[in-house]
Amino acid sequence: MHSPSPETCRARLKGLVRSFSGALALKGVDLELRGGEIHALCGENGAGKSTLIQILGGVIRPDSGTIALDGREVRFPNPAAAIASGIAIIYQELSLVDGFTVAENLALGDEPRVGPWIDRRTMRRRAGERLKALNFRLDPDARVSSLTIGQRQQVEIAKALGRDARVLVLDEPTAALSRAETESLFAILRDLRAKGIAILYVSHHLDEVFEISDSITVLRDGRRIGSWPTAEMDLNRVVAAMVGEAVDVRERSPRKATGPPLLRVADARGETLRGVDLTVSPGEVVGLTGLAGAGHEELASALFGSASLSGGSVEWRGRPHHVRHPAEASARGIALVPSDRRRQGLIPVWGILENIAIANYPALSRLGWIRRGRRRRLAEEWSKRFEVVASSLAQPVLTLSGGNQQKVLLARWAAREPDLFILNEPTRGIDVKTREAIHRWVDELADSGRSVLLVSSDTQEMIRLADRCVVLRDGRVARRLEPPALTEHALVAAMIEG
Amino acid sequence: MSPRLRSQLGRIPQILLIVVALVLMVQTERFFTPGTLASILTQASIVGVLAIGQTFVLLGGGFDLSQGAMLALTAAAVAHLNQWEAGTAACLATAAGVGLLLGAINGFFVAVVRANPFVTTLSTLLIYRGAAFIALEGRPFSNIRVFQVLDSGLQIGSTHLPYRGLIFLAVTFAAWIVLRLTVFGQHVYALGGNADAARLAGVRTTRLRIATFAISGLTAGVAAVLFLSWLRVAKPDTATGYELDSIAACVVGGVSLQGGRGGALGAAAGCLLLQALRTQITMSGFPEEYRTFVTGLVILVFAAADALARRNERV
Repeated sequence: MHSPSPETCRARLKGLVRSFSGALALKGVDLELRGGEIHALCGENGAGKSTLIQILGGVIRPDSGTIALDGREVRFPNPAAAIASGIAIIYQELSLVDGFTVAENLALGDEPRVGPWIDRRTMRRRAGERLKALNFRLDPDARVSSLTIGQRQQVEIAKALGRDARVLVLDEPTAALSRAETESLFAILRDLRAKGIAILYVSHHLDEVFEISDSITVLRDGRRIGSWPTAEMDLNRVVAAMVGEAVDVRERSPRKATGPPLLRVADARGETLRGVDLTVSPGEVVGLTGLAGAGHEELASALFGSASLSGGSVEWRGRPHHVRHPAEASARGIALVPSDRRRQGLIPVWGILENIAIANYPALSRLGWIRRGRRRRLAEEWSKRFEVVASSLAQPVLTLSGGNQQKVLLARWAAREPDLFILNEPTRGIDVKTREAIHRWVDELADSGRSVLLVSSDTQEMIRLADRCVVLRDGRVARRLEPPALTEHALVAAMIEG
Repeated sequence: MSPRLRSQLGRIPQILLIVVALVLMVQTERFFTPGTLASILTQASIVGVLAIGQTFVLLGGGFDLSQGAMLALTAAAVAHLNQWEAGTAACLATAAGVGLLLGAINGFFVAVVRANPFVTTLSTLLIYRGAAFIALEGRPFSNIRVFQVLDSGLQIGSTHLPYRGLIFLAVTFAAWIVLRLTVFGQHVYALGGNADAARLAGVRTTRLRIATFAISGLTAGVAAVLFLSWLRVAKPDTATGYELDSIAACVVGGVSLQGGRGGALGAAAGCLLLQALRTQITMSGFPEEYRTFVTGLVILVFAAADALARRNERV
């Protein structure tokens, strides 16, 4: 490990601890960022990377631990304080005003004025100077809405670095970039490094990490596993550090799929999909995973009728499966539990009862009239089966914990008793106890002959549940893994390797 | 302040208003006579029926500014039919059909084309109103007697219950039943509560949204029938501004402009309350000029109360 000299240590994070509703996301993390160095931060989902970034950006405050900039301890009560201290963070979601020009965006909040009017000439000159100093070839008068994602990122970087930033943090900066755009981003980062800026580069893409970084820190389960000079590491060692030496816990013997496949996907194509084959048989849990944008989310939506494929064929029970609406898919016995509970799952104005019932009206009504007695019994039965903890079935769902919200959504679909369950990130952001309960339920489903398509970026969950797993990369099948080859190491490697 | 306490505070303006209205009513002579009450019901009936239609649109997360114009254009269609001496049934069917069609056009643009509901119904307000002008050649068509049978009422003891008021009550009751007891009603709430989630739960959101606007048009047709039975004249500027009164009634009745919350009974009560307040101001000797001012004030208080009640939901 490095022992950095204090002069070059720009930012020193020490013993950061942060919990979210009881669960520890960071368990005492140290990190040193030096000027003129690109430092990569790696870890699986849930390792604590985002929490760390948010603390550094003043979005959330640590429960304990300190941050020192150039040897002086600082506290960030809000994002503005972090910015004022010279920390610039480029989040995945860019924060530009689309309708403004580049110059207007760069000046936003600090516009040069003549009396009450904006001094447009000075504004453009400053923008031009700033872009030139960074070697960005951008027209200050171009509207942001007309720029590519890569160019917008440059504007964002120029904006962030404008106010004397000395630490630049990039969160998955290449997720939406083409290879050429990535190249030019790297050129920019090397340039900034030469200017003495400390850069923290957070990414899943390990090949890029090896290309650009000088040192690597790996987080796992809220702890720092280690920091090394990149030159001393290789891909396998980083992956091993990310997933740990943990024994893969499989609590059950492998299931044997019975009968012909229920679902058969051949050469599926779409916005991100470039030809994917997949089958799901009764009684098996098939995993589907990849990095963001690899195509697994699109495939799941398409099977449920919520997105449409541009090519390929899908068969359901041996017949062509063309569904244009979730209502058609659910009538055929397919259920999808979405990953974003609040936006895509819950009806916020309602209580538990109506939220469970909403997908079940075909069975809960006659000629359009709701059978209220049946509805209550169904909601009671399924909320009890999933052990939803609430004061009553009328309790508004938004007042429930994340785990209980997820149970309500699972109950909604389980009550329909579908043949195929598409579970999209079923335990994201959920406490350990509920997570285990959901995992047991998935096991029971498969044991009773139902099928599950598990879409998850949580590799531990994948190992725990899937009978086999299809890993997508750039819209194609990168690898198909079955136990015993189905290990966290193999999964992560399949997702990220070129 | 605890969220629970704050949500109770959010109701205070509504409670306060009801109390104030009651106090004023008791203090005003002749207010609690069957005659006055029946007259309030009747005067509220046209806007009241519109408010029920507006309730469906608002619950589904939409907004309908074209109700008054739909009423005028429907009335114009009936006026033409009346000149050819068509029967009452034909005129009724026309009013309902034209209203449904005009509403469905709004719904098509909002749900299928995905135009903003405010802008869509603002433009159809102008289009329908303009069409009424053209259809009536800019002049009133008077002496329309096809619906005059509705201009009487039931005599119960010494109380006269006009049909218009009864129709308003019937429409309210029907809407209440549909919203509370049918799958369709439940889906309308889901649409306004979270359209994305509703779609992923298997709700046909597009056709449902069209339906909410079509219902608003249908109620405009019914309101046109009530209007013609009352004044027996179709003018190009008939019912100007009624859409705002119907939205106001919904707001006062607790129908949220953000969708998914409220109901038909609330909207009807809101409409009656506003009408009672107006009658009140007139009867209690306040100068007439205060009516508009006070009405606006009341609506603002209720809108603020709704916003306050919603604020603590984002815990």
